[in-house]
Amino acid sequence: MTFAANDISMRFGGFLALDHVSIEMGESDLVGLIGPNGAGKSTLFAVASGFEAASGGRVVFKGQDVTALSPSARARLGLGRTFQVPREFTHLSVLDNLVVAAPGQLGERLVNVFLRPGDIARQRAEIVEKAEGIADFLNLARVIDQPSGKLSGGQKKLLELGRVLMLDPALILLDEPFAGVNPVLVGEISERIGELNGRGVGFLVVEHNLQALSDLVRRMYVMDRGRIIAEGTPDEVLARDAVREAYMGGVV
Amino acid sequence: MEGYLLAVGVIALIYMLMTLGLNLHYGFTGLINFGHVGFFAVGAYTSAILAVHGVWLPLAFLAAVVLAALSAWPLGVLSLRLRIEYLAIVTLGFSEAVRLFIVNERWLTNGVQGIPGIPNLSEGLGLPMSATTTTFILLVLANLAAILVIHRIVKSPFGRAIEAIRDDEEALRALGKDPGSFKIRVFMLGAAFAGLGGAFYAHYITFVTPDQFLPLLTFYIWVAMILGGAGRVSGAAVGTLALVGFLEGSRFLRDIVPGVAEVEMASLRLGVVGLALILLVIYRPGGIMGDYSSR
Amino acid sequence: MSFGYLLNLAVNGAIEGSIIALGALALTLVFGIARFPNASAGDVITVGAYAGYGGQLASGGLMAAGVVSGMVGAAAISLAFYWFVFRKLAGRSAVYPLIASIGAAFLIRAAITFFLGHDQRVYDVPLTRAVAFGPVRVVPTDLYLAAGALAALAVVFALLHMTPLGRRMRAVADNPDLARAGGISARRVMTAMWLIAGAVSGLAGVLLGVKTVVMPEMGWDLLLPAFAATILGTIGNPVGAVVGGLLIGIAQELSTPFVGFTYKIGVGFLVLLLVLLVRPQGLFSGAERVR
Repeated sequence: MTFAANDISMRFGGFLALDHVSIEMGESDLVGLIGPNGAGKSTLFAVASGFEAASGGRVVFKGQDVTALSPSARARLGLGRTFQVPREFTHLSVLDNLVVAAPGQLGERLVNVFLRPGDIARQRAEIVEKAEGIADFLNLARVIDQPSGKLSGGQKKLLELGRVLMLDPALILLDEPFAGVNPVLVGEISERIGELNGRGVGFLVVEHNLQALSDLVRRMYVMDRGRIIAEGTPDEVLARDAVREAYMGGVV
Repeated sequence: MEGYLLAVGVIALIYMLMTLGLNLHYGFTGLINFGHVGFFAVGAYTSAILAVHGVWLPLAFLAAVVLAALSAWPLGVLSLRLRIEYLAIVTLGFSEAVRLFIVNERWLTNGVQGIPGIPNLSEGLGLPMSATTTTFILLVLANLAAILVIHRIVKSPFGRAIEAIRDDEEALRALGKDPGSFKIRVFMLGAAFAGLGGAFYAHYITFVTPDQFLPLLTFYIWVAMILGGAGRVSGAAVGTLALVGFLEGSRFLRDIVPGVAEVEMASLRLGVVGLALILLVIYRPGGIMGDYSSR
Repeated sequence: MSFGYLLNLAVNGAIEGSIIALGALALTLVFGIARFPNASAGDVITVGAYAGYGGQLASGGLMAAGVVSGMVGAAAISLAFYWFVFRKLAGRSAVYPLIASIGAAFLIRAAITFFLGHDQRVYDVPLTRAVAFGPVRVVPTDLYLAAGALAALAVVFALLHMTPLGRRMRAVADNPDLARAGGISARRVMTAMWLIAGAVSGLAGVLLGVKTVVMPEMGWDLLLPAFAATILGTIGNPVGAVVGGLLIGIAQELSTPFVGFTYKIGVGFLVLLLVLLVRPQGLFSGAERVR
């Protein structure tokens, strides 16, 4: 088991956003998380990635209790995330967005900037090669030198994914990868996720586009009002009455 | 005439060091520092006090730079926890706190009466040229060195990281990097440049008082930075020259328009700086050279 | 250091604090509704002081005229800067109106010193002797000041909580998108807010001028304590601003025997720092996230 959210509860004042939620994922798992608006999916992501502290419960990653760890510490361990609204480094080029994400850069220490320029240049060459590879994979090679702020919505989403891939993560929390993306690109993104999963990267995907998600993931959790109400394969889960009811009142 | 131009050049180059530092803070990292004059003051007073007590000038300068950088450390730490608007207020309070300290701790700083008789650079280094010439030459060298250093830094991974912080700090955090240590280092580095400027200032004017270190100077530098183009090294240089050109030009204006007292001139300058800030922010936030959004 | 002495300091601090509270109230309105720290608030207070002085002078010594002209003058300046400057920066990051507000502060200060010089002016107030309430000695003028400040605060609260306009203002404070969406309703709310903030600042200026003297730097000196009070009381919370103002005022006075007069101004800054480090969301935040 690579990742587990154990019995997570989250209280905001009097409001219970997460009610004893538990999720489990194995290595290279490809799991979906759905539910109507306000079900608590974003909150769960925030807790899983460390951007919010839960009121109760533990988060376990690669056998380690990471509940107390900061988001950056979790990312360094291999737990990456993307954001619902892409958060590209607007004034940096696509290439620089990818390059800045590379871990362990000597050139981030000022001493090295002045005393070890050769090593830094060598490291940069490696990093750029990796970044260009990822850009190719995500079909962003054409725009690699453009300021990332000028990309289309779909391209920004791909860039978000590319950035987190620079970390060689074991698990990526994908926040609505298909939202606001044109249908052709949805298929492309879905393929990329599948390929990456084939190479061993696990994914927990929050999505509202149930069709696209069902085609992609092997397993799904359904949340409603802070609780997990169903779990199983996409077909199983979407046939359940409870799940349909939950969505009737919400935006699908 | 050359004497006059050299003198103006000295002031311009001193301000340029400050602008280069502030540009690192805001233009490259997005930190709003409204207390820049505080670092300038720390540098000026440190060098002045040491030099007046006989310390060898290069050492006094070094101490000025180091102390200015150290004084930025608490602000750097605070910048990790404070929202950008709060940081602005706190840094403003910092520079005022420095000034209050200078006013109050008479045993060290001679309070409001200030420290006279600071050795100028020709005396202190035993050089034959006039003080202004020596100061000018050394300032040119200092600025060149500063520009080279900053250029190297912004092209490095460190530079990319601080620009990422400016654009979206949380996203950088999600990528496994802590903005904190970068912010602290940038704060200290930018402060060091301001401190160096302060040391030069003290040994050029040869007389420091707390009144020379008011928030107005911080905002002169802000105008220079925005006017030239924040986040661009050439912007800092161009903006400073434009600012000093205006400040000096206003002196000539006074000669042409009779009956305007120096005090009124000071008011006009203050008003124009205020107006400049407003107009720049509304109509041309990118400045002359364009800011980081057009690089 | 007797209890009576400390009590006196505390009472005087509360009186000063009620003026700081007015400044903080203006700040919290702008912070909560227009969403940026308004660095020109101090100089608007100064405008109020000068306008009030002028009003009193012109009316042959009527304090009431002074109060009215002070509030009107400051409200007018406040509205003018909204209309010509801050309105054009709506929707951008708070950095821009913040910098513009510094520019506004300078512009105001420059105008005042250019046309009216640096000389201190004094309101025409009869000299009164301090009256004793037990161990506490208070000058009657100060009591009127505090009463005036509290009355103004009460009026603003009534406005915010008992009128439709106030409801709309609070709605905009809770939901920034309402402000950004623009439209007549948003414009009206903003206009009302800047007028009220200006009037409140104007009153602060008049009261401060009566208590001390009228000079160009007076409002700017109040800015840091007022900001400290705003943040201490939680941004956007008018009650908090008032409580914060009183606390800061008292803290400043109580610290005087220990840190001396020069550093007294620094106490506001110190409190601000401590609040931001320990509880940046202020004393009065509920279940909301840290702002």
